[in-house]
Amino acid sequence: MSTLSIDTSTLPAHGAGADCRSCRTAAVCALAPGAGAGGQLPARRLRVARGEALFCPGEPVADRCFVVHYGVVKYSLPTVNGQHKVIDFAMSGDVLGLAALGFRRHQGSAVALVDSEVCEVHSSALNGAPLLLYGLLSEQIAREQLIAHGLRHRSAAQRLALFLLDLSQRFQRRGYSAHRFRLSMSRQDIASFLALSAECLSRELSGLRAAGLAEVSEREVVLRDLGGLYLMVSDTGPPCLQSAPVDGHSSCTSSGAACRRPTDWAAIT
Amino acid sequence: MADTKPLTGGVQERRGSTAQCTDCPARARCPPWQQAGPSGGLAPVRRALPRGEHLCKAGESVRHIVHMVQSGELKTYRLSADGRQSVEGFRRSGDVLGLGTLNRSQYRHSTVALTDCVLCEFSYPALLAAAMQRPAIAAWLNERLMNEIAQAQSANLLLCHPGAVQRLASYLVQSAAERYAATGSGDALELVMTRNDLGDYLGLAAETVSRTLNRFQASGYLRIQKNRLHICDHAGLQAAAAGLPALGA
Repeated sequence: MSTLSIDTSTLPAHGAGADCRSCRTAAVCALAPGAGAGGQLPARRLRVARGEALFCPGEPVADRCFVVHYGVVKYSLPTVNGQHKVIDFAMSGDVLGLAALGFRRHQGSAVALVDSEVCEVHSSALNGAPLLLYGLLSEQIAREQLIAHGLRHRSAAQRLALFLLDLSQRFQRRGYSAHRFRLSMSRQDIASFLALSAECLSRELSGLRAAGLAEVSEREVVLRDLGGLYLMVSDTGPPCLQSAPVDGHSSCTSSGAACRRPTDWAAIT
Repeated sequence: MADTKPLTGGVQERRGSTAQCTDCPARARCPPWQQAGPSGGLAPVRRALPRGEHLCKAGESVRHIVHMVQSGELKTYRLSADGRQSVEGFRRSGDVLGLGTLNRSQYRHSTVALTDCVLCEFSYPALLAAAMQRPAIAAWLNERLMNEIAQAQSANLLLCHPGAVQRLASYLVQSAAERYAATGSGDALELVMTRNDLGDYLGLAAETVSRTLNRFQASGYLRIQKNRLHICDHAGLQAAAAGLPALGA
């Protein structure tokens, strides 16, 4: 993981700034409401090549946060045993490092999964729009709580379904297909995000394919039956593939019990 | 707020009287509301919430109130249609409730008092308005919102541990650290929640929680006296949290 390099040659011409008025991400940009009367947020566009880190644990926060212009960036936190847990994936318009503004140094890392561009925003720009900042922080609290909620007492199959539905909704909101999309994250990243072992994840992927719900080959995802996936994670759905209570990684066992959990991450958008 | 009652006397009498704050154990973590001045509308209302009563229930309209916990302990949770519980977290003295409801119309979670609680109620809109005027209140709000995110993320981190031993040990290490920060000693922990609630927070069965606690006791990490845990071996517990194979079978 190398640190950020800034390729100024290809940046927009007007200083190092990014033009919000002509930005194609503006419709989904979390910070767009913060653009002032001129329709312009004081931001600097940075390129982050695939595999590069936007920030690493221990680096100074320097009162900066980022919003993804395009690409996908994974945010992870170190665990007590020296590994990393993927906390979330940020897509175009999503903010990164917002919660770090309260700290001197970054606790987590943000690594680009594909060649990406981000806008760097100084906290002073956000302090000028406090309601936006509080709203974003409040939203993030809700999302983190939902993600943790999704990991409690959920079968591996349900977690995977929630993950695919969440992505589906996020792609749709960005004007892409809700049924067909490409994963930017590796199996390992997905397994970490869902707190599953790699073997368990691949078993569940086969399970979804066998049930005719979703096909994931390499990075290409085709959701064959969105309704069926929602039923898997819904409160009132019929019996689904697997829904044994989860006690850690080990539980990939199948049981006939019905899934009765609400759609969580999927309901967040 | 049908579930809460003013502690004693009228609300007006309680409102804005600073005398009651001087001995408040949570005052160091309270918003500097006095700075907003008497016309700021930020003076809190102190309320008692008896054990077992709800502060809010999932599905209810959001009341745009932020609560500071002065004393007692609460749990926030969600229920699925079959009555299965997922506990989002436990809140104690100095914790804030309701910060995540800013742009919501309905509560997504329920909050119930596990013990008799005393809470201070702040209007969220008044808090936001005051934050625009007073940098100290803005700083408080920023810090608490970010702290809330960190807390939710640490729950997420707990859940990534593969086994019950690591999850429970990590939780105890975390709680002891919080306790140490609050009181200067992290040796004794009061587990006022049931084993069931703790299991529903950690994504474990209640029996697994009890069994693992007994294992910790047998290994000499802690002593269990009803709801009180005395941690005897912090290093051992930390090793267990890190997944080191120190725990005797």
